[in-house]
Amino acid sequence: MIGLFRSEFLKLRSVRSNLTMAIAAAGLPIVGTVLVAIFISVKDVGETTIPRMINSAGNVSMLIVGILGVLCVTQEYSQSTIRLTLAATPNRFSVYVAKLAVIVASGTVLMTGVVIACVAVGNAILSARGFSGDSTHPDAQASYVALVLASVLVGALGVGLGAITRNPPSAIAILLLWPLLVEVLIGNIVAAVFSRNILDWLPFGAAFQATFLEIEDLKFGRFGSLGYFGLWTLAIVLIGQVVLRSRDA
Amino acid sequence: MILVENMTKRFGKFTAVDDLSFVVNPGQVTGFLGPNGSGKSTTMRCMIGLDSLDSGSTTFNGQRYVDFRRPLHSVGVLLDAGNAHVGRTARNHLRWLAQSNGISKSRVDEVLEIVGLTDVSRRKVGKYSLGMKQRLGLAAVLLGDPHAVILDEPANGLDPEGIRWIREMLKKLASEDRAVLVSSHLLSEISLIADNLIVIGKGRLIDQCSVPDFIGRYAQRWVRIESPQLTEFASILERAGGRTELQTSGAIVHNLDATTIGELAAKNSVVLHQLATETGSLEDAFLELTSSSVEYHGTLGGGK
Repeated sequence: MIGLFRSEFLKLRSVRSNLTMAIAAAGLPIVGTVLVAIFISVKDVGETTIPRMINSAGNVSMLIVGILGVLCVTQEYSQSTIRLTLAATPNRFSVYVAKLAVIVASGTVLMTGVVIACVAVGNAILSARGFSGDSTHPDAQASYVALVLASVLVGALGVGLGAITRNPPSAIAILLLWPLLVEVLIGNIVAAVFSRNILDWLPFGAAFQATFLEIEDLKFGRFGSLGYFGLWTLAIVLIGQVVLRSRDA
Repeated sequence: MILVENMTKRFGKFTAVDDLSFVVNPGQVTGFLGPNGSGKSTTMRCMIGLDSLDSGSTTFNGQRYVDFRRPLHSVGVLLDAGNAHVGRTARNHLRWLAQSNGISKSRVDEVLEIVGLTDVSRRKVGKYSLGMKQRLGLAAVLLGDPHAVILDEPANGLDPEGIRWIREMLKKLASEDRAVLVSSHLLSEISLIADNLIVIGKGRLIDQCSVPDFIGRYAQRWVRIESPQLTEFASILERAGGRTELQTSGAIVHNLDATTIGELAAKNSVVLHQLATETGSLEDAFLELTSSSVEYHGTLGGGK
């Protein structure tokens, strides 16, 4: 299994488009944090400045990690390497688990590194500019952990969507339109018709909110919401496994 | 030994492979022939579990492919030269395959050397010609030093030097007591390398035999004669039941064997400058045998 894991990791890192995605996921929050730290007026800096920057850009990075998960599977079909993969490892469950493990590990390392880099670079720049106050919000660490966990879950969801659709454009479209269009529409329609806020019940709505600094109104709490999103992810991942096992390569 | 037993594969109502059984013996190159759409590629995919079977089984030295933990050590497969990511280098392509089956990096270098791609191994596969991709595919086949080899159209896109190389490679693999199954549309190539043939049509086995037996059974035979008294002798042959086709030099006689023609010549004091039995090629035999199994026919066009 270690060999298979290393094999899948080599596949992921040996293609430029995947590396570009990883750089984009890492670069966006870091560049955003640097720009905010450079250009914000020192008197406006508070304990929420850096966490908010990390979380807002981090939510985009989260979706990019999801795209990485999609590509991890769909590239195999678009490039016809899936036949070779399954010829080398006939146990499809092992292949699927290895792909999930690679995305989970890569997502964890990537997003943890991004958060650490953002905090370090942001604070360093602010200190250099003469800011001497406290830039650490008490809930910042929990929101950072939630961001990393949510990113990993979205990455796993991407793997599941990739296994179901086998097609990069379709899977990426679903991954992006689901949170950015479908959930927004559903949330707005329900709010307009029934005057009810169901954002906490929408999978991505729950995941995004779990990464926010302030979560007082969150029905399931920070990690409860992540658990709720995790259930959706698990369902998609399981469907993906069934599809991978049952369909001809 | 590769043993395929009663393999059936359906796509909806269409039966692509129909109760197909055959054996590929070690130490021999076995050609796998059939017209387009006859089910060769589907059969090969089913043999290694890429496509699910409706019934039947395939075993490699008694073991099912899906039961191999590290199958590259037992069975080498080349189904499509394009099965490599265009954005990945050839070396990395082989490395991920090697890692998945616990094969060392040094073996990757060895097979790159064997197929002659060492100098371009760090180039992306997208920049490879079809012939280079075929060589890369063969490198993947050789990675695990398998005892059985399955190749689908391995000579596709290769230049004459490459075709000769693969011919020698397949013979070498068979000489090392490996079971080699190779499909190809290049019948002249198959006739040069194959010891045995498996011929299928519309998913069914038509015949399995040695190449000489196959040609002997299905190719037409005729006798070529040359004589200064050709016109006179042609009418003698026609009267004896032969069918003669006069050509620019000599004639071709059907329905009579060389012995009969020689005796008729002697009896009628006809001088013969040539009397030789000729046999059709593997291609002739194949076309004769599979004419009723061809799914897609072409024409030369031009007619109204």
